[in-house]
Amino acid sequence: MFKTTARWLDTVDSLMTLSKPASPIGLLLGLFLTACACFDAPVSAQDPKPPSGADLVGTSAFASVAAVRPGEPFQVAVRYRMKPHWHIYWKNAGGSGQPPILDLKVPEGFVIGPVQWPTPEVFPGADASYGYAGEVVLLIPVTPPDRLDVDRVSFKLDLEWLVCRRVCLFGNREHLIELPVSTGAEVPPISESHQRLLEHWRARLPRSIRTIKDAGARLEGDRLIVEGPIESEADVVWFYPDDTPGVSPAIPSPVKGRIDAGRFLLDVPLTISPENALGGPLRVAGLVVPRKTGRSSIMIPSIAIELPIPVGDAFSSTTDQDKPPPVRGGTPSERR
Amino acid sequence: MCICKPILAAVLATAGIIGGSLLVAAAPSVTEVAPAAEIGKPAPAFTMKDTDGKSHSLEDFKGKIVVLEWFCPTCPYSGGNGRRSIHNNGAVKELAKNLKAVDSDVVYLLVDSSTAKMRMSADDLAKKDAELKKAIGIESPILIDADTSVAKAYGAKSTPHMFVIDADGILRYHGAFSDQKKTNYVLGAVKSIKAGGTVEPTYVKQWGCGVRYQ
Repeated sequence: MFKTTARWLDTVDSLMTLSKPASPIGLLLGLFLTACACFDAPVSAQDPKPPSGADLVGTSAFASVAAVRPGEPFQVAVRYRMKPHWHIYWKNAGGSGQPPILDLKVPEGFVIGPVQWPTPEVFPGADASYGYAGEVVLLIPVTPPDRLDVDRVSFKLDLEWLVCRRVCLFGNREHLIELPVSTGAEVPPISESHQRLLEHWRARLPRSIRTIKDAGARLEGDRLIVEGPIESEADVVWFYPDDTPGVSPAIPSPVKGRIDAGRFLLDVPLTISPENALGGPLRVAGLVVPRKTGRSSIMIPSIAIELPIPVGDAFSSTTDQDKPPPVRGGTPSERR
Repeated sequence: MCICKPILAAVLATAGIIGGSLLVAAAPSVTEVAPAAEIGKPAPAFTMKDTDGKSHSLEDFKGKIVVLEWFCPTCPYSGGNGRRSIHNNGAVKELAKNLKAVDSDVVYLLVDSSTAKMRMSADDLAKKDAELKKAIGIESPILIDADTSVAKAYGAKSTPHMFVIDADGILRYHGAFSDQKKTNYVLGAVKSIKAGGTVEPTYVKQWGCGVRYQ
């Protein structure tokens, strides 16, 4: 039975964040403390002062532009930096957890798009959870109105998150982003560090299967079939499901597919329950994530798929007429 | 057993740092999920002691609707004392009041399967739950699932994860407590059962902190 104190956790966390140990003694100390803390050590009931969720996750926010131009879309980037071994959640938390809440307040006339979520990691449990350890940048698309009669605009961002290790804690923080409005021909660039962060995390956003030649997703009875070419050293693909009320992919999640001769094939059994759709359209959606056996890190890019599911008799029918349209990649001419 | 894995990981990490090479960690394992309770089938039987040592069996409540809420004393959605805790923000009290209006005989039980998660003995967990029960005014019994076997039998995945069992012992709903806005799925299920109608939805994806099996 380990009763790890918050102080010990902090010490281990500090050591784990060092890029290089200071000395062999430091190495040995790190080894000893790491062993004692048992990697997934809890914030136990005996901790004198457990950390708060805000202590465990650093956040910052910045815009993808140095100035707002009327009618030109940009992104608000929200960076989360988790203490070692703690994680926050993807848009589908999985078997447990809760996705972070990003509440961006914009001036009148500005339009906000859906949050863009980079490909998450898998955290095992009674049913797998999906989320981010270490660091992630979530992106919020913003489109300004075509006309802006002010010199500056400000955006208030309220963040709230659930951060978990063995136990879970809440955190929240506010950020304010202020930007000048520019109507001139040239806008100064954002900082290099912000530019690098954007490039890094944009590369981790999923690609739609529609953009991939010779790739496609279809329904065969109560199974989702996804296949296509794969250009990486991956030897397996995993399916990370979206939260789609009324449609549940098989558990244990994630379902795994195979790769053979440069192509992947994923076959996901589905449970279709129209009574649980909560009034929305039935659909199946998620990510096909290439992985290399033995590695914890995912490979990019992952592939996003989404298919509507017909209700009633059409679903159980096997006639071509009743089948939902498959989703295919490639250009329109290639599809013909 | 607990020590070996981290020591090995630390040795590998150290070797990786010294060698200046990238550390390639092992892929995460995915826990196998035991077959869970099914909608329309008899709910798994159980016998558990509450925080006062009193024994409760599902069979004791035959003829009554039973609501089970999986609970964890440190979870900010379930047992914690934050504004999101359904026991601290009035959500459970409101549900209890509304359930009573529909059926005064409804039995509401909390189940705590956190021994593995909290690395606590069943006795220590019962003490902790008893303290919290008193501190935030939980009225329902908290049953201790010492070896997490009841959580496995039901397929409980989070705290809170709700289960509604009808008077014949049939599972009619499981999943989320509410949509975290206005709709409480447990109340809807109990209303439908009392009206002799079909429960819809029968499942909504649960949210909250994870349940860990032994």
